[in-house]
Amino acid sequence: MRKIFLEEAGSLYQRRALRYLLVFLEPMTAFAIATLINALILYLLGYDPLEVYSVMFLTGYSDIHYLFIKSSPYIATGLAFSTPFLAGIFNIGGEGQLYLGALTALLASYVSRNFLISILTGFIAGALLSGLTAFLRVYRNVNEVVTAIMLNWIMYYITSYIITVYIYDPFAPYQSRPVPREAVINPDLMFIISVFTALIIYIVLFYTSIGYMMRVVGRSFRSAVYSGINIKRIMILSMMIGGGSAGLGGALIPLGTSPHVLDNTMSALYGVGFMGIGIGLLGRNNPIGIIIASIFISGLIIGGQNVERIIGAPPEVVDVIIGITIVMLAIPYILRNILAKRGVYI
Amino acid sequence: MISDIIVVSSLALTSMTPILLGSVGEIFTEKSGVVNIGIEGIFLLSALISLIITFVTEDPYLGLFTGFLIGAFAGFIHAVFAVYLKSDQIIVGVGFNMLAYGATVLMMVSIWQAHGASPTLPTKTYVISIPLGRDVITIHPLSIMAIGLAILFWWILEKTSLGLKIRACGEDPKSAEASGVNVYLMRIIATTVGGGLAGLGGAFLTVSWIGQFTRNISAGRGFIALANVAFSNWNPLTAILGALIFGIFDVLALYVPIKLSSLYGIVFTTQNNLFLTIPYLATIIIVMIISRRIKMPRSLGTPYIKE
Repeated sequence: MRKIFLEEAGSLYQRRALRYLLVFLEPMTAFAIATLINALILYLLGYDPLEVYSVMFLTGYSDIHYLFIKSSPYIATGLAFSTPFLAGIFNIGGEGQLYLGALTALLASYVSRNFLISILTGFIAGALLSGLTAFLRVYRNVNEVVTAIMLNWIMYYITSYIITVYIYDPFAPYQSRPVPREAVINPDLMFIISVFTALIIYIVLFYTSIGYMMRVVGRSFRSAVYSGINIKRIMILSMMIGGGSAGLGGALIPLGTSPHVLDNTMSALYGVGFMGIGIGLLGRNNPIGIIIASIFISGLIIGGQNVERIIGAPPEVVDVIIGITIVMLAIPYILRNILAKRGVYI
Repeated sequence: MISDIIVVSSLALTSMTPILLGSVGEIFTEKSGVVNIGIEGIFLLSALISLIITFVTEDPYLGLFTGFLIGAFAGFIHAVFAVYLKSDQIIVGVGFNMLAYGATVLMMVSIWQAHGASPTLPTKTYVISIPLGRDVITIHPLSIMAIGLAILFWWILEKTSLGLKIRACGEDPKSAEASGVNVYLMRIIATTVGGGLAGLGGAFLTVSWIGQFTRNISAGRGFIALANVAFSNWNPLTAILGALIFGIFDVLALYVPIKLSSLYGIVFTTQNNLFLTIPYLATIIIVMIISRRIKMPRSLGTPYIKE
């Protein structure tokens, strides 16, 4: 056993090279399998997969500037999933945190007429909501997945209610009044804020003691217990950073994208939070990887909208692809753990 | 007042059915040590496909059966990922839910060119109607059957040797294997059957109850079923009570505004959104109250690796 371990593991440098290769190879393989399975589904439903994919990939990435702008909220929701995930807690509530962030930022913008205060409000609101989920998990042992999904629905209806009852536009009652002009931000700034947030979270995760503790809790619960880390507090904190990030992503949408309103079906927000799960996993739960994954998936989403316009297949094609990709990405996680138990770390 | 209670409970009997079927399926799955949070996705997929089958064959019972098969197939796939590929079961479930949402919308658009809702079914499954004063109480036979299934699965889990084997796989797979139980096989069987029950629940949504498919028709019921699993403390009999409670709140979301407006003449339009949060709020609160006393299968969610 010992001998096999030494041979398989190789030198430190070989292992590191293998790891870097896998970081790219795994997501790409998963995505390739997903596109193939999705092609089969499209074919069975009577669409031409080649036509759909050519529209999706050729038009999706043609406008680089728009692509970057589009990716901004997705970077935030990707971080919302991955930061708690690294600390061993699931944040499926990015969607609800996004709604609440967008709503509170909108309300704050009416009062403060300042974009920074609005974004900060969105961040805090998202952090509090995810903090509630984490609190229930940690102190009352309530499954965070169930709480998060329930809160997503509650936030959907409450946001819709507040928009149509309190802040509706008299000329278009199904949507809110627009963000005051002073608080509107340049779309480019959206991307910069998102990337900046990702970098801060990267530094926190990999260069601070709090980030180290989070990763210890996520990697090995037992080590965290024995080294005296306050696991409960670390879990809640990681969840609040994630939720805050989703709230920030929500805040960016009304502030940065025209027509600077929210409507009662949340059409600009719907699905952005859920997509964050796929983005976080594709980006290997690394903030830098998440930026790349967001840009990549945003291209798919833009392409998906063009597919609807040109071919008539709904943009949910992207959900199918990303859903299969997530399933495929679930395989290597545990495989890696099994190898780790045998002494092979990749 | 009394007629209200009777009407609400009869409606709750309908709305509890998918939750109960999903919960019993999930309890069966989780007792074997596999967690499948893809119940929501199974609801969506089997709701749509059973509806399509019913449209084509004009036989809603064949639709229900198809729903069962779709759920069982999805459960089997999940089991393969969980048991043989040792995948992270939560991530597989999340991905499956997303895939199911996308795929159902894709199918709905490609078949009916409809983005929001499918056409309505001409023939649903048989309902028992009992006239009661001005109201007519309707009871779906499948609701009664779901309660029967819950009792049956309690019996299987607690009183048969198959149930003992399944529970052993969820508690201590190593000892189970040592005493001659095929852990992989037991987990595959439990997850497949559990998925099938959830599939039946999904088919009930369209073929028996609503009669059409709308985007995201399950509306979180799959996760309410998961909440009910914790509520019931992994006991199918308690799950009946839990499903009834969750079902009542599901009914109240629609019943309260209608009742209030008929009593006080207030017309609720936008406020409806607030009433719609009732089932979700109730779920969080109920689970919060009971969840300290739960005892889950010890090896839940951890893949079994043969030595």
